[in-house]
Amino acid sequence: MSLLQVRDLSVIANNAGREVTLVDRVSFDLAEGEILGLVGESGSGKTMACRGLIRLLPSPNLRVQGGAVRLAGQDLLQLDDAGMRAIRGGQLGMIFQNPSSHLDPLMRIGEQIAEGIRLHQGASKKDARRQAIEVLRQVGIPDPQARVDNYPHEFSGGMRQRAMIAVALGCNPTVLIADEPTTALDVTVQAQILRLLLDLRDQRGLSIIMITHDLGVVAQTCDAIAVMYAGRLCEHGSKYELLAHPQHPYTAGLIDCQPAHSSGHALLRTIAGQPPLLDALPAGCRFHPRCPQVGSVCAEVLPEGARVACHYPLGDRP
Amino acid sequence: MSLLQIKDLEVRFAASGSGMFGLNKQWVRAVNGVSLNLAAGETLGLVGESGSGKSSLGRAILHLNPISAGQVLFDGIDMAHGSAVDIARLRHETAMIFQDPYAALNPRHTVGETLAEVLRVQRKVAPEQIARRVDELLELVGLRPELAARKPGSLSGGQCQRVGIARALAVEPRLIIADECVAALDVSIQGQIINLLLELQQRMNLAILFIAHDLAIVRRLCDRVAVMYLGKIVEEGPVEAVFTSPRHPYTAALIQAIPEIDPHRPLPTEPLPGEPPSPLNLPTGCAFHPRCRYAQTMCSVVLPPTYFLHEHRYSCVLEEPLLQPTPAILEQPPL
Repeated sequence: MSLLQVRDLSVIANNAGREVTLVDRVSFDLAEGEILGLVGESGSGKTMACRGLIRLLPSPNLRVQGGAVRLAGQDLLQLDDAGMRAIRGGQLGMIFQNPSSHLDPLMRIGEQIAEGIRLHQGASKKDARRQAIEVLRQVGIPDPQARVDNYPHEFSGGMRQRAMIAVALGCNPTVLIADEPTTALDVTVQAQILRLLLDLRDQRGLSIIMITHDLGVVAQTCDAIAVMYAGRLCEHGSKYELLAHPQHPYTAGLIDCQPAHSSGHALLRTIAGQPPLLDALPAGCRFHPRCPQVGSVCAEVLPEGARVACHYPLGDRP
Repeated sequence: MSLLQIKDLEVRFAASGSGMFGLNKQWVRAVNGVSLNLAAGETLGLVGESGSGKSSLGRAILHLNPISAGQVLFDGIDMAHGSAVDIARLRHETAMIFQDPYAALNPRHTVGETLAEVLRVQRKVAPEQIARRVDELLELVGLRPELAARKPGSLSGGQCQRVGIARALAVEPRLIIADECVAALDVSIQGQIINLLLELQQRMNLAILFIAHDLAIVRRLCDRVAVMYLGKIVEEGPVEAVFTSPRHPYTAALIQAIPEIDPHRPLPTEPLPGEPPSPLNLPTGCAFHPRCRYAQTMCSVVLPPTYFLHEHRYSCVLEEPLLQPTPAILEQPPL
């Protein structure tokens, strides 16, 4: 059985009495040691879905509705706040795009890591510090004995991201949610951080949900991919399957958009138009106004499906 | 002759808080002796990590940054020591597109007012024709004329960037400096903006300096590419030559780090280590030597020589090309 099961998770925003569905009945599984890439453009709901499952929604106007999030059999949505606090930062860790705004600038790096270890494992101050140094070593901080007493501003951008990973790893999580962990970094540093996450998976059997807009990052690091569009999961499968034979026209469009394929001044393929506003969704399939192979049913019926949510999946193309 | 010639350009900034009363002032050498040429109708990509000085260089060309030493010749006239008249002419024939499309537009002006202001100040058309020209410019960048009445807050990111491009085109420039102009956009919108630039460039014979950290886009859009590291150009040449046989280890590492959509191509097991050092304290010799896997003892002592190979130049002691297999290309399915 998979380690994490997400079933029909919805996130609703309440805008002055008007309800807007940001995430609409999303389901996926995550096995032990698996890396799942959650891909989509800005506003597609990929971050909100993960914020909902870890119950860390950024505004009181947002709420999770229905569904279940089972971590090792336990439904997180049924837990009270104290129960959830024990899981969050313990079994379930999260790292963010911008380490500078998620590390406390007035607290030494070591203390930030040790704080979680003391809270979740009841370790002594001395023991927590020793563990913090060990975690810093594991995430590749040189000279961790000395660096443990540094403040975040004394670290470079790449090292801060490593430090944030260390904070998340302090309590030996089984699942790590990484929200655009390399988007703010240079390509060379991005390669270092991705390599680190892969090594951590291999050494500790860590399961990772990687939220990203970059299909290249997904192709090189993930095992499975889930693509989101306008709050819905539109396609989900193994990375080999999904990248070589995308079934949803949106997935195919995203792959075709990437400029990496060739050089020369040929025009790039694009997806015409832009994503819909979530409070003014089109009827039927949310992608149909931009879809190159739209059929009559598409404007009327919202497609369902675990592997691909499309009325006219592309099938195996040559 | 080249439209734009840059010779030994230096841009220095005083580091804040350096010494009491500014004694022992420390200097950040953002651009440290750069020479580049750009012909009319040519697209030159300028790539490098953050802090490499690529934006400082781009801004210095348009006199938006002070020039500490060297020359910037636009149409043969030295703008580094140019008179106010020369600089007014430079502004009349050049334009810049910025990274954050929302921050680059005045939120209190409508799109129409923003474009009309440029036309009025630069006296590009007669006052009574301004409204018609605004419509033409919007059409040129693929926006409906009705958008002229809207303010940036009610536009999407892609639409705002199109307005930014329309504003640049309003001066009928011969040179555009585009600083990370698609970095803030979603992939599906990124492609639309790149296509727009490609079309406009071919139609108007524009010269474009395309500053970017995304090498894949540079490969697609540019004729030539220059790679910058800590204020210096370490390699420059035709896009295909540089991408298929990079000569500088830094270029090779950058190319290797591009995440490619090929599930069969693994992540590099040993990515380029470290991060660029502070430009306040440049390493001696070749600035790249502390991160270079091919570094020899001499690299930390002397500046590397610059070699020329047809139109390809690079500054490295290595004489053999750094060959690496071109990444396998995923078949492009027809849409």
